[in-house]
Amino acid sequence: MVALALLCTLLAALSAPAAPTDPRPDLRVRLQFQRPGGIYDPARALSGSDQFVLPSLYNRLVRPKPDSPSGDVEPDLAERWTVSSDGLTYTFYLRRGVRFHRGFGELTADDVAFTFQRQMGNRAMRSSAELQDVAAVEALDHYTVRIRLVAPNASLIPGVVAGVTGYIVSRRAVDQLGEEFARNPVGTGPYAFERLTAGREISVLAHDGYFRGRPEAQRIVFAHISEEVIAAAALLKGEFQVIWTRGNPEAVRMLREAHGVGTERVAAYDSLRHVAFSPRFAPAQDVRVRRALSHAINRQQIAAAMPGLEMPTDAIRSLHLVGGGGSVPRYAYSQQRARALLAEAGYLRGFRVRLLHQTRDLEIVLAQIVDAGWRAVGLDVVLEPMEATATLDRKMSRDFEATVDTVVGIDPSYFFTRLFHSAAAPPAAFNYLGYAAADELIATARRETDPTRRRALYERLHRQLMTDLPVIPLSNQVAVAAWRDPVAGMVNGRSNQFWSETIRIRRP
Amino acid sequence: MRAGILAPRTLVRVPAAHGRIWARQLLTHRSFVFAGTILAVLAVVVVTGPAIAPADPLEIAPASRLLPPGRDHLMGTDHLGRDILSRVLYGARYSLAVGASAFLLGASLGWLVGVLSGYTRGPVGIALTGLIDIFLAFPMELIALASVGITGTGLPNLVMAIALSVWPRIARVVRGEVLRLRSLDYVEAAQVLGATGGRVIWRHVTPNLFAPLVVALTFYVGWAILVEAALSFLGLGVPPPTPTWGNIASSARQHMVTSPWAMLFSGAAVGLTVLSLNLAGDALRDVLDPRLRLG
Repeated sequence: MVALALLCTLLAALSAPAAPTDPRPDLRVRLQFQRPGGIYDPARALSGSDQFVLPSLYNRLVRPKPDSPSGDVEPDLAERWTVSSDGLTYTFYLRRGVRFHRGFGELTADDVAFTFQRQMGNRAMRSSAELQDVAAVEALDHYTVRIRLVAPNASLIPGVVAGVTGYIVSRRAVDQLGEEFARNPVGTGPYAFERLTAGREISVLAHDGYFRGRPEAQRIVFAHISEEVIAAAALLKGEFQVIWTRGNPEAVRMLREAHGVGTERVAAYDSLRHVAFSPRFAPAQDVRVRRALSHAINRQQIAAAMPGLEMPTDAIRSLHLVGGGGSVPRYAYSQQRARALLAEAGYLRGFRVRLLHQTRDLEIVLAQIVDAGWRAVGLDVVLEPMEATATLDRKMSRDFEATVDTVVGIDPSYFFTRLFHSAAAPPAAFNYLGYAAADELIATARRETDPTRRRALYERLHRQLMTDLPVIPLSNQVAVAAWRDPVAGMVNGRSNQFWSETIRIRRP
Repeated sequence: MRAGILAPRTLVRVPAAHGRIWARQLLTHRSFVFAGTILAVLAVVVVTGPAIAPADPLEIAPASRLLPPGRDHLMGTDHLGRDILSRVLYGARYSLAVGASAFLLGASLGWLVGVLSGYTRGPVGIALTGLIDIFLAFPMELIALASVGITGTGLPNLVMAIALSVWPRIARVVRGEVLRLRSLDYVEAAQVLGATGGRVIWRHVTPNLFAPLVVALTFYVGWAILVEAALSFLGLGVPPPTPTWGNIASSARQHMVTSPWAMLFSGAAVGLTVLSLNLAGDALRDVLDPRLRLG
């Protein structure tokens, strides 16, 4: 009898309906492109691949439109906002009912004020310099925030509020977790942090209470792959469902020729690859030498070496962006002109230059094209390929003569300030040379709120920069997004804006 | 009376008859003939490389990138349109130069420390033996990697890194041989007759180290070429655009799936050279080592 009862119980247990499982798939996404730093506090995240994950974890008051290549913005946590007539006061009205992950409660104006206040004047924070015009950020009530400025700043919305600085964190989580917050982040985004795994993979789980709707994937694991061909092969084998690749036409060809793989080319006109110089490198302090070095580079070789992947440019700011229009001096490929300028500067016999670059494919190719051009006009070029972190260390301490670098910034104020303002010294920014002749123009343009006058000011600034040529432009980046089953498609924003909430899953 | 009278030079000189016998044995040794042919071709390539290379190995032409082997480019072109054959030919110079100079530097240091540690007694000998043992405790690749990590990339640093990893192996071989030679009658006789330590080492010990050093040369030059290739492959060797077999393979790895020829030809050059050196070393040991001859 007992045996019969046990058998019945067992059968009942076996025939009971299983607990409902989430039918949504798990995805693996390649981090873009650097080795991850494992820091997911937006105020401290420096690595591009850490910043790549942030749109999945956090929201901003205002965000770049995912499908806009020119940097237009749209409401995010703020339903709407107003600007005072003097351009000094911005008031944001928040959505109601937006909830932080993992039970950290509703997002309120207090969290928004806290997010900006913790970065203001704190030099340990990545963006403290961007908030120099902000006098105060106050919560007027539960759902209203006011930002007061010391001077008008036309870039506040596109460059700061809708930038990395503007990702809103939970005050309670930061207070509770302290330093650990960077490795255990809490936001309001479409996916909630789950865990960091070996090799600094980060796993995020769908935030079903997300205010724009339930994400279509259950879990996303972001992982790093350094080699482009390996990344392409990993997608083809099904180990990854979404990757971004760049700099290797063969990897792109593999993806495009593969059955069942979707691809999209994304041109990032705001990413400037260029040669930068150290202030300790004497020849580069002479503008004639910098112009000569620009004349010596055959940029068409960049397009030929990476067909469809790098867009060669001899201008600092792309004409597709604010500040890039108008006529500016250019230094087209001419070995004869380069030699003449070098002779004029007193370097008839050339000089020795050490060119520091990373050991990634793309930078190796760019460095070798620069090397070939400079050698052809009589320079003794020594290439210094180094691993990414070591290269960064040397750049930060200005321990180099010339280097291949990349700066990304769609907002003109952000872009020109970080590259050419005298206060934008490394490690916080990229003005390695210590160029200081454009500070006033950069500040004037930032304060100009009239779009027409602002554009004209940036074009003037660009003209001045192209005359002084503190950096030598090389190319704008192109990346290719690729995806496969079960991903049916996604919106591919600009470089480093991975909109995981737009991923569509193929229905069986 | 001079020590040299009791320790006649004929002990270390190879009589002409012995030379002829060794030469005959080597020329009938099939491995040596194969290896010698390859190495002779390599020597011709090293000497005449610039004359026979069809193109400038540094000249980039991206429009002709990744062409497969054909009439214009016998080994195809790389990702910057450079002629791979020219790069492999020039690469032979750099790779062999690195291998040979690293061996010479490492062998000199290894000889000095090995002889001193084997010949001298007391604290100096013990300390030097300890130093050799400490270095031997680390894998050779690790020592080379650590050295390049500290000094940075570049040809002189690379040579020094490889020499640093080679010398303890040479020192161990030399020390063992010196310990054996030290107890031989003619060495003891020279000492009894008042020859200084330096004279005994230079006149009576060192010439007898020739055979083991020649065999070591064939192994460690090959090994040095492999390390150069490995470090250059990792981006720690000779910086581009200078062609070495290692960095030709390194820059080809991203195109290995679709355009494998650069990887294939530079890898074949490394493999064939190291194989030839090792076969030559085996043959030399067979001929020069009396114990093996007796066997």
